Amino acid sequence: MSQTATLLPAAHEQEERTVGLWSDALRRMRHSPSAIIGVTIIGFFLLMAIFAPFLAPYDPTRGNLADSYLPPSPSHWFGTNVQGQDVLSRIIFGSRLTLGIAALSVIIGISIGSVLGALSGYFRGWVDAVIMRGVDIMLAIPGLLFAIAVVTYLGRGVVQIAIAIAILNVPIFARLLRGSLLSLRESDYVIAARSVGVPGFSLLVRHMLPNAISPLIVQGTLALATAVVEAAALGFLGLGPPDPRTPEWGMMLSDTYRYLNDAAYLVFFPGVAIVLSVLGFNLLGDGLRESLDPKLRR
Amino acid sequence: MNHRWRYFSIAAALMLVLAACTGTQSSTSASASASGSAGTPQEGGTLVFAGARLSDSLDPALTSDGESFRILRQVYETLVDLAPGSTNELIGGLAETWEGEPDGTVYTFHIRPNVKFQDGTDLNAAAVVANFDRMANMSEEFQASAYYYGQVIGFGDDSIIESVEATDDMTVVFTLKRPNPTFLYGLVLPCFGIVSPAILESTNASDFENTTLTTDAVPGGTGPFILESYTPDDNATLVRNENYWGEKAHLDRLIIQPIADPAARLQALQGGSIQGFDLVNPSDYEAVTDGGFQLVERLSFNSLYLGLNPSARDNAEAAGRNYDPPYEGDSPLKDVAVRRAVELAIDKEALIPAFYGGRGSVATTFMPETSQWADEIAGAVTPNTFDPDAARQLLADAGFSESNPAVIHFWYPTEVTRPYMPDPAGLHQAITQMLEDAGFVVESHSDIWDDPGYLFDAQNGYYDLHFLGWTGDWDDPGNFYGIHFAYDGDTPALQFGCAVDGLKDALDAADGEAEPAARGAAWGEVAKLVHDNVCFVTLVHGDTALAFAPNVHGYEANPTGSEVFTTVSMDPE
Amino acid sequence: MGKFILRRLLLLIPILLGLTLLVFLFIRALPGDPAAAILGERATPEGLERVRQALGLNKPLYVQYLDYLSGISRLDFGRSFINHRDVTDDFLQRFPATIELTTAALIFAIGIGIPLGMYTAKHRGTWIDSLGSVVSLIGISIPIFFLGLMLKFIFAIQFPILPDSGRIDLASYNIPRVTNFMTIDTLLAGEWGGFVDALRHLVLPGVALGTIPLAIIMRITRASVIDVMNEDYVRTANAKGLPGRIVDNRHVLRNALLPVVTVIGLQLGLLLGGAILTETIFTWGGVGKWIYDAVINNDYQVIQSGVLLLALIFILVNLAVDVSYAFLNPRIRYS
Repeated sequence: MSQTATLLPAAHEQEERTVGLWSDALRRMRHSPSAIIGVTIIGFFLLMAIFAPFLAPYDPTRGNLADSYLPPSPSHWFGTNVQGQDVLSRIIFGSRLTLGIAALSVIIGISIGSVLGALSGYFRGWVDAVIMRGVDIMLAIPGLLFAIAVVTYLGRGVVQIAIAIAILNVPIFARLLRGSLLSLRESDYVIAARSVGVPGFSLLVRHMLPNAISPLIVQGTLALATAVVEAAALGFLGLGPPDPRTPEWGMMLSDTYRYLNDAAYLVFFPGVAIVLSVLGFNLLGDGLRESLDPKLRR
Repeated sequence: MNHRWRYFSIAAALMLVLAACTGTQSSTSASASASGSAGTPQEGGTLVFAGARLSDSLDPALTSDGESFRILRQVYETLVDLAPGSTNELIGGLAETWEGEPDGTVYTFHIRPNVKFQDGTDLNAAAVVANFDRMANMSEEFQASAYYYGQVIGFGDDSIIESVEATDDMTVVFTLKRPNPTFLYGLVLPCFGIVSPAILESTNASDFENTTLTTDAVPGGTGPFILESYTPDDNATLVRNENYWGEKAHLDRLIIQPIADPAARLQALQGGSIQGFDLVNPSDYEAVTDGGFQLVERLSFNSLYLGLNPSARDNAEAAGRNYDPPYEGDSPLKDVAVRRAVELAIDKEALIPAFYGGRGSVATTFMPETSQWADEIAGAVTPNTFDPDAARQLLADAGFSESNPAVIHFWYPTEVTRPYMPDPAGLHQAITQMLEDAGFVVESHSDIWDDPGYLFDAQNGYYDLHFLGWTGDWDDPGNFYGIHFAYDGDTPALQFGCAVDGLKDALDAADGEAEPAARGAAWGEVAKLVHDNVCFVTLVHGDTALAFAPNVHGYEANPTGSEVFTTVSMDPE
Repeated sequence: MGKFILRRLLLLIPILLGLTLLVFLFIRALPGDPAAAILGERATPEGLERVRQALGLNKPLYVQYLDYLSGISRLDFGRSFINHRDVTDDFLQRFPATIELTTAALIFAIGIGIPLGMYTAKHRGTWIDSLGSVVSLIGISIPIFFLGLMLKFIFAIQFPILPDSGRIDLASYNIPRVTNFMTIDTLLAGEWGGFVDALRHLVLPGVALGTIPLAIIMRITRASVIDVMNEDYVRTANAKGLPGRIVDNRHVLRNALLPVVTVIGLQLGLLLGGAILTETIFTWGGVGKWIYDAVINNDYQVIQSGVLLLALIFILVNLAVDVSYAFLNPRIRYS
């Protein structure tokens, strides 16, 4: 589930942290088709989430059994489900949950993962050994099983799902930051700064962390994509929020894939919503990586 | 640059070649001739049939679920059996005849002569005694899985059996400690299938650490099919027993394949990789018949119900259960009028087309219509038929209003479907909507089925409202009402907290009554007390169905799910 | 090198111990109860107690853990709570199915991913390249369960050209299971038709499972080839007029494949995880479905031993990748 982690080249060169880098990156992003498409897609879903009550033609949680399984029509663009709820309205409201879970999980994952990675990369020695063995153990368990276990343990709910996904991301971010810090340690300017007596902690905070941040941003964007997939997979496996009326995309798939034979549209539309949003984050991450990676700056 | 494409085109070509080798499996050609003609059944052929799972164990005594019974029922046979299609008419099985009265304690079975086990040894009285001895003396580890032995007979001091003796070579006498009117029905269950004593010996069947009877395909039964091979999660292959004592099977081979997802089972039938499967998704009934396949209906022997527990909040608090959202204040369900409002608010009829594919019946009582007791029990109960206005009125009379609504918490299970409950989350949503329309405020909860959070909490009575259901083990009101509402001393069943004056006495009277007519009336009294006080709301008796390819004939569905494939035949394609 | 491998193998011990403890505690911390799973709606408080007693679940946690560890040290992974089958036997019986599926997915991913990656790299900046990156990103963005359902719906239901589930057409072929690799067993049985049928059964689940690795391999190949093409020695080779094909094969491909090999190794581990969803959707009797069912049924013994065996394989694969990487690339030194 965390395939996108490997998209990132392992070692990142140091970069000068100057205004020039960021404005340069922004400039190049404007010329990167993938970034533009990514931003457009994500913007589309963001607007959808924000203005859901105005956009959705029906109440996503109310239905009438008399309206079960209406195929797509002008009054229900994406048809209705067994409860007679409007699928389009549920997808629109579902974007709130999906984006919320993705954002929350990445924020938590980056925070914890960076602290662990920084400790590991800065102190080295036994701290590093303990943290990295922990990371190894976590990475050795199939991610989805791990998430299932965490959600079952914490109980079902939006925040719990976000935490489960965040925990999956922790080892990835920890490893990434540690790797960056290790390569930075050996870089000329850090050696130089150390030799003129810059204290260790300020070296870490003032010089090393800022330079390690761009891979984190790129990985964070890609992690948003996997978070959407993971949240949907949990919902698909029946571990979504407890109220079955919740319009979560993965749950919409799992509620309806049994009807694939008769009402394929019930599976198709939420599935496409998932694919599109994941694609948006991946495109954006891709664009960011190309813009921020100095190796590709030619 | 063309050579760059070579890898790609080779791979693509390979896929196309594989795809093109589709052979003869045209699925929906619907040759109309096949399904109609009865005629003489064709001999031979291989039928691949899908259930949801394979058997939990291959030792019949250790199984208790329909999927295991499906396989082992073909291999092992019991002393007595049910007549085809019947839920209550007993016929001879390995016992050709028997004597014994429902109110007596002695049952004498005359073993069918000239029956051989599949390993070539003879069936006799000693073999039957050896089987019951083994089950009675099972170690604790085994007892954990031998659910029905514990339920029908009981282990150790709980056993209802005084003795099992072979009085001559072909006669077995069971002496019970006290009369038990349903004892014979219990013996019908496939877990009481008789295994060859030689096989019991050679497989170390009584040694928990070393038994191979649970895992290996062995010729241990007397049944019409021999288990030839068993690959977990893959298939169980059965072949015709050429030496079967009764009418031999038409099929050469019967392969049972596990496909957990009902939609995938239909897809496999459409794709031609199987020729029949059980438990069609109710929403697929039309797709089955439209696709030219046969739908074989199995009438309901089950009931879905909504459990109501007026003392749930007290129980949950005493047990230290905290739910999110939490219980607040006294349960409105303590008022029987509110409980009645719940039942009146529910349009049971509307659930059937939406969730049961239109096949099923409204459950006025717990007894399914296929039960011989259904009419008698129904006659004793006054139904609460759907009437949302009356429900609203009852709520208003009970002092609830929009500013002071009746808040009830309602649980449903996840990660489970049952024949009586094909879509728990969907049913939950629909009923929530109905309750809200009648003025209730409903808080939704869910928990994983096999989690103490659901089954455990439901059965311990921590839930205001919950779904559960029951598929009958045998046809007796005691197996429905008795099991659910039995008192433990002076405490009513925890699950429902149904503290109704006179219920305990009525249950005791009904349980002890062996004479059939009086037994029906006595259980009718129990049902009346339970339903008048709305201790639970029986919702639907859901029918289930099997689907077959057009060239398969002769499958006889039984409401209890106990079905033998001997009558099944296939037209050559 | 020998020292490096030895050190990595020794490091396995604390990792595996930590893993056993983590998995053990985790499944016991879960609210699920195997006794309730066994009894279902027939559970009574006494019945639950009896089952818990029989399964040893009433023992103190540390005793249960020590029992588990001592079993593992004797290579005895216990018996399933639900069906009493030996966990090691069941793992070995199912693992070939998973390997077979994973191999099919990898062949699909490598066979298409590398050529496509090289092709797009050579056309860097053209519309073909852009199309390639969009397609590969879409490939990465489709969740396995959605892709699996759609593949099945299109190629097995709407246009039934491929089988939808299972490993072989059971009605037509009665193949004795020798190795439990269906492709091998059919050949051993001399069933050519069965062999083709087994291959056909591999297509849809293989594609579902292999699509994400395909996209990743394609992207890495592209990036790696671009890197190498910009290296001086390739420029030199081009400049001195070597035919493009020779440059491609001798200089670019060989050097560009190094990172690709690493990624393929990593994918193998991830594929084992992805097999859970694929096997569930395609009713493929492998390890993934086995463990998923065990999680659903709270079959502790299967979960704790199955996850451990799977993790062990995952770790060993990663080790093998690291070693082969060091072996292939003399510039890398491990201390």
